[in-house]
Amino acid sequence: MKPAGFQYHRAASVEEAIHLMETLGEDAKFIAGGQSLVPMMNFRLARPTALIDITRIPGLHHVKVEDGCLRIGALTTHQAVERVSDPVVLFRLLGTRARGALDRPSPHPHARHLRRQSRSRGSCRRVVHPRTPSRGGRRRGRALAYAHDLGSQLLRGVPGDRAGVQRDDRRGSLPLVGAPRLVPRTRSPPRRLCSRGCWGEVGSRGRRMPIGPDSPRGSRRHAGSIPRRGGGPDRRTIAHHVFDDAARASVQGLTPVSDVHASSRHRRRLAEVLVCRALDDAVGFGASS
Amino acid sequence: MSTKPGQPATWIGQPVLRVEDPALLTGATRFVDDLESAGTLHPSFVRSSLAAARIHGLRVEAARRVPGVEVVLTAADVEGGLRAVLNRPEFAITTMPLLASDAVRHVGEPIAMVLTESRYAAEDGAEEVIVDYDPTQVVSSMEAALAAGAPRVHDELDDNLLLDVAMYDDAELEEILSVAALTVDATFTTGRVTAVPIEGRASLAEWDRREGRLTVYVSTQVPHLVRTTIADVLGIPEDVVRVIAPDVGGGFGLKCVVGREELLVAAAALRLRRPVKWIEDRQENFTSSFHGHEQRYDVRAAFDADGVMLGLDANISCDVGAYSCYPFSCGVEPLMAATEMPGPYRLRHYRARARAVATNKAPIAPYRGVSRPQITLVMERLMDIAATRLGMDAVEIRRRNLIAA
Repeated sequence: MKPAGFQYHRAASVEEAIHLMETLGEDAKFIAGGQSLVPMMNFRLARPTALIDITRIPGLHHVKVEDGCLRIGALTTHQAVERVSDPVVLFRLLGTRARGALDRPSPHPHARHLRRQSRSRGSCRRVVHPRTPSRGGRRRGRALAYAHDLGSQLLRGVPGDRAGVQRDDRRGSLPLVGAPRLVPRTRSPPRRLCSRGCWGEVGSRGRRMPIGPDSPRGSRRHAGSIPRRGGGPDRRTIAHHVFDDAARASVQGLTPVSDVHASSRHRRRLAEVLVCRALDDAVGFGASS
Repeated sequence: MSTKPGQPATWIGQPVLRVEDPALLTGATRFVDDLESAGTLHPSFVRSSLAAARIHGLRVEAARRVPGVEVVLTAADVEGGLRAVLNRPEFAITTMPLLASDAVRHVGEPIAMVLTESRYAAEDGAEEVIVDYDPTQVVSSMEAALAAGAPRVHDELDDNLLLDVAMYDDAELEEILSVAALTVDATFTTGRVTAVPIEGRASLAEWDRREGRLTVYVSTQVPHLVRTTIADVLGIPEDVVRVIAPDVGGGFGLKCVVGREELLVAAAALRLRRPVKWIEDRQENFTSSFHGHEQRYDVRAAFDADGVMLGLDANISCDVGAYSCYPFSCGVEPLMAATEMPGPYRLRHYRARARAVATNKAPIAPYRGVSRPQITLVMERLMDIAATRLGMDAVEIRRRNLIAA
């Protein structure tokens, strides 16, 4: 269980990391905690030609409330999030005032993800919170999981920094094409008490297929390496008996890749099942929190 | 030990200090991987990716060209195998080759050995070895192995039974089963497990040129057995082999047998006159080491109206994988199950059939408990089922069947 040979680069800044990725090409990977990537490399199931270590980039380790938003640095470890002691931060993170709430269902997708898969060196770089406009002009946080990269919060999107993220957020989805981009932090505005969230994720060796409808008002999911925004139901109230129909509608137009891990048909069906479960979960969380 | 004046010395009731704790707690232990001599070669084994196949070609030239690769050994270089023997006429002897040459019989079976001064380079080299397989039908379960016309794991045998023993036959049992107040028919199965010690198997062998002796450090529960086996397989006098068992990071039975890899390490060190060290990684441990406990029990038990067990008929089948482990053989699980089945209960009439069934899986070793967890499950479930059907208390039925003091 020794990995195949690879180049190792240590980035000192976000800009350098992006430059290295652009220079080294598609077969390079960012590495942060490495808790998923390194075992895959040891099994020789992942063979990046180069690793770009981003763990020494300063300023990416924090969990704090700033300008009314919860801010989580991309290199913040699961362990650090679990040990947050600031009650205000905890409230933002969990959507509840109760301490010790990691044991309870939470409407916050990121907190749910942590509870399911908390690892001391795991980093928070996979979860992005682009902001989308909502009715009445208020902006609501939406969570979108993007697990293409095992080592960093990397998006295959248009080059850009935080400002770029803000521009893309207005479209309500993540940028999907172009050069790589490192998103240095996530932001989550306060959630209204009526909001309900859930998180579903299925992992396979080559790719992950998360879905993240963070509200019964809409759903997002992807089935492959490219995140997609669902065109599914956008209604204020969804009842249980329509979840199946809603899930079917949400995967309309979805054409995931077929590879050795799963067929396109299987992935599509999987997304449908998970969307249905996620909607069910969302209602359940709302009732319990 | 208590040595109070006027009283006999006794260990009973006395606290016994553990002698190993200081070293374990301070990191002063010495495992095989802590040992290394200058110029040590590290092997990586080319292992079968198929459960059943014939080998009609093995190409190692590309591996020899990988930077760092010093030697690639195949069955042509290291002949021989392990032949476990059981002194029973019902036992079928098979050979577990050190390196497969003409056929592979389970995933993970070693085919070639790539040696370099770096495990990284060794694994790079192992990747370059090309094995030309002709896949054959896989025998993946006991049911498939025992079916009429089933493909045979070993061509030289008539079937897939490596052991089929009828034990403790009782002429009265059938009549007892037919007239008993209660007869319980049941089937119990248990899944395959592996030991997974924190320290996998490990071996370091080096040839001492001055003393003319092969010294082997091996993570084992049975160093003397390892020495005898190395001497036998390599064809050298036993006093030329010295085996040292340093600290062992868990064994659980996995290390009370002798594996092919330990012998190959010794053979390579003897052949190359270089130190050779192999540390089993977790992938190898899961797929290529010894397994155990995949068993099936078809039982019939007779009880009288008072809950007393009158007789038991047990048909025991154990999936022993592709080969017999050395030296205990594949008979270890079925024979242990059959002989100890009654456990703490008084049993007047008992019959057992014990079978070792060959399949295309990793061979079994006497993993901890050796069938006792299974036979305990069987007997205790029989007691529970009988108690329920007779309307008895589960404790009372056991009390009535226990061997009296």
